[in-house]
Amino acid sequence: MKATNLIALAAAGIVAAATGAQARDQVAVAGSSTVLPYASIVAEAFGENFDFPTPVVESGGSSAGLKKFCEGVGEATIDIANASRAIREKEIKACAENGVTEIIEVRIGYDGIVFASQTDGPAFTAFTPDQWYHALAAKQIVDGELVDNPNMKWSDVDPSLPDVEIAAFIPGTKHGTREVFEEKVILAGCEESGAMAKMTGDLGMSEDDAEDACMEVRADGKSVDIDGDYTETLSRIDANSNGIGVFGLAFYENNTDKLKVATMSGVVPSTESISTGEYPVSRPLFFYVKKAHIGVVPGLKEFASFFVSDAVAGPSGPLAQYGLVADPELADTQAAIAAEDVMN
Amino acid sequence: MNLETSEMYDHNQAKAVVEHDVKFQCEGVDVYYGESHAIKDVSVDLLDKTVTAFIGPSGCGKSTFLRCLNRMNDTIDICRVTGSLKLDSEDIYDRKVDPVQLRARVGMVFQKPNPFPKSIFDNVAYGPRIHGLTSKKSELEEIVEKSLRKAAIWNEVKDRLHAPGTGLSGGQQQRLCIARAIGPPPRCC
Amino acid sequence: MTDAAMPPAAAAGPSRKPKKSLHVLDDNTRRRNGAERRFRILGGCAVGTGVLALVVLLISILSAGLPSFQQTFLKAEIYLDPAVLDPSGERDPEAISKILTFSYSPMIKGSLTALAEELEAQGAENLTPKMLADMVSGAANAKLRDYVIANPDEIGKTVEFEFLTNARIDQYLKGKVTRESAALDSRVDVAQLNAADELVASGAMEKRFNWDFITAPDASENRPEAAGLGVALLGSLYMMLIVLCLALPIGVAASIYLEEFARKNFLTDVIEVNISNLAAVPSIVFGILGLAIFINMMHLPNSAPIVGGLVLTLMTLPTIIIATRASLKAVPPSIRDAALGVGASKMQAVFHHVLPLAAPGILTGTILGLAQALGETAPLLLIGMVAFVRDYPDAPPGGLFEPATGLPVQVYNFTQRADPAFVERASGAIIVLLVFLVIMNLVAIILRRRFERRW
Repeated sequence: MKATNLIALAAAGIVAAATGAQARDQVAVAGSSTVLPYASIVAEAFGENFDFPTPVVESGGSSAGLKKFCEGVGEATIDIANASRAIREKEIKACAENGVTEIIEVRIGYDGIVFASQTDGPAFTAFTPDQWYHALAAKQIVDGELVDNPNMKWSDVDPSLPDVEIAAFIPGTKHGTREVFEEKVILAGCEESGAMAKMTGDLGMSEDDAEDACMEVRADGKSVDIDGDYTETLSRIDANSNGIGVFGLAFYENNTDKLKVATMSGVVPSTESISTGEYPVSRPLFFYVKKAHIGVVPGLKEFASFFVSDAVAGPSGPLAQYGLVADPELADTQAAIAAEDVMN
Repeated sequence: MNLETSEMYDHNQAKAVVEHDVKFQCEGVDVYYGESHAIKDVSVDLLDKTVTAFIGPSGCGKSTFLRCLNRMNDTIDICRVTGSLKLDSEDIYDRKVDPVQLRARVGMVFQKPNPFPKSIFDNVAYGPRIHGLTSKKSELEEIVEKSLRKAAIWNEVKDRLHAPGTGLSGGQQQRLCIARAIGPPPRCC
Repeated sequence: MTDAAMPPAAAAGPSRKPKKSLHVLDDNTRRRNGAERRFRILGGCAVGTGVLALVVLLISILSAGLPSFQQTFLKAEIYLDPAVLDPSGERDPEAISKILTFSYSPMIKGSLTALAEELEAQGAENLTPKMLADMVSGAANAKLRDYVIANPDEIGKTVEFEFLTNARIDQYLKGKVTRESAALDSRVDVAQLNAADELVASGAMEKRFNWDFITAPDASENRPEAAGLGVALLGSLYMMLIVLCLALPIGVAASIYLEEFARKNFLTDVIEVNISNLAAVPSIVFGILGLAIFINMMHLPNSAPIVGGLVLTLMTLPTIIIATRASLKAVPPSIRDAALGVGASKMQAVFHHVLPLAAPGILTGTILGLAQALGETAPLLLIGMVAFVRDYPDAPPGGLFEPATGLPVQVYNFTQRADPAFVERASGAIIVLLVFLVIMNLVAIILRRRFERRW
């Protein structure tokens, strides 16, 4: 019965140890899966170059990360939330209710959203937001009436597009990318094509209703929400030669041998065209730092300043090499972190 | 199908041979398994230093009655025993009696041989060990040999005391069980 | 009552002579034999399907994952430039450690210039020194920096190092990157592939077994070639330790109590039904429970093996309790009677006789539960085990509270990454997980044999 005693002893030890809390000595980061690769590249370099332990980076999505971030102050909560969109008013309020009042917002750079298909697939080479609106919106205006989207093939949308069934793989609603896609592509297309004006004018809809009607994506199977990562979108495209997917620029750049990218309004997506603002579909990436943890969690401020240092987030740093579009105003961000400027 | 005292044991005839003390005194014993009334009003005296046999058709309650004598029926949840059973004029169903202590004194061999799946030696030595009769190996060996001799199996197994008890033939197994039952020397039965 | 009617027929039966010879099969026998033959064929098919599925699975995983155990290395001489590494010239360790890994890249490029020219002359057209330097993994900088900090005296000398090559070159040597795909690929140039051919021919580049895949921690998306399973293995090991130490004693104690001591009544029936239900509860539910209780209420750290272990313990307990109760029930009651009849107490009867007999079954159940826990991903998603963790946790008990991942979540992690080289590493991680499982099952079989031989 010796083994039984030994196991019982070990069990008692674990339970005893579990009751005593331990101090956390590494920075804890969570949030957007788009920012995750950048955060892990920085975390790795941070661990290599400093005596602090390597920060732990979790993914899970922007909203989930910010929710965790706003759970309160203390060692059990995370120090940094990554987000592929700006924090919302609602979230700031939730944070404040839990005692997280001082938040430092850090913009690390920009990410482009690109439209890509199989290299051997149909010639999807040039798009406009207008075409995407007509292909994916749930309702279209036909003869002055709002009806279910009648377009079944890309050539129905625009004769210059290939004569194949519409099959779009777009990010699911839990992704920050979806929001950008809806605003910068679908809504922009709605406005560009004049459909928006017709809705508010002839159809007498309020502006909010018209926006919602514009951005509602069709649910008849022509557009597929991808809740997983870009790897899932890629495998769906692999299986469907007529498919076209929405990817991050960085993901595309890592898979240029399998994907061919289309221009948007005539602009080829690249770090240059995004940083100049020429390519329309891009968005800033952020992380949020809990100021109350600076000085408590070792290495937190150092990590934040290292993240946006020129050597890391600059145009020739490892983040740009991976696909991040460097922020031209990086110096301001660096100064803000040094001064620990918090949001209002 | 119930025990009738008169059929089982002729009290006077036994008395006629030698005068013995009464070891077990049972009066008005009833046993119920849930709703079914298995033994009805049995009264019998069992004498010391005598061999007593219960005979009857199968299912008539012989084993059930025997199991009452060392309270093995306690292990069956739905079993209920009423009446008076006295060992050396102490009520064995008294609240103060611990059945484990009782069973150390009232040994039992079951209908079907059920040796432990251990060696022959360990089978017999188990009782003396748990009752703390001895801690010395030599004394233990002595007890084992004595018990096996009393059960008339010593000659058959003395060369393979460390072979598994389950490897013996049916009859040998039952004798091994007898040796095991008399191992912790019980005072009765 | 029927007896009275039977005798005439029964008497006539045996005396009547059999009509058919035993050498001729009658219809009934033929039918029964046919049924047996058909069942045997069906059974064979069933086993065959299972084996076929296993073989297909193994082949696909092995063919995709085995290459991850090999990695391509490049030998190169690097000039440790004092102008870069120690501008002050004082060999002050603090000053040297201020030089970040990024500053090492130009130095590597400079050292490889001569080699690049040589290779270009040999037939690798359009090869620039930058391209050659890019063929070296990003992990090389950290390796150089660690070396320089450990040996400041070597600054100013030329030292030969062996670096990992970047994932595209490695994949080229493994046949996954071709010249056609490279022409489209923005991360690799055909000139680099030509250079790789030359380097392999000259012996400076070679592909060999890479222990680091098993021992090294995870690496970021820029360097799939350096990613390993070390932290995940340790995390899984710690979690299994916790599950074993908690679930086995608690589960066995609970089952012994329920099976041997507790009275059978309404309450025990309710408990029994609930335990069976718990065994069928989806594992993600335990993750939610763990998040609510262990992290939000007890404030245990995120991403720590202790939380993972506790959650998996809850998940494994029903399995162990059910298996233990089944094997306790399988012990014949005559053994209990025998022990009680000799005067053993109930507890002695259980621990001396019943438990050893039930031990093989309990062990099998426990190991099956552990194996199930080892492969579990869903509950770990919720408690932050799916994370990028590069530091090894300490030895237990302290290390149980430090961040780690687990093997299955590492597989999940690898499949989420953009670089195609991670696909191979995900399959490699699955192989390691399978090996882990096979070892556990072997241990179970060996232990079972040992226990069975005891009697």
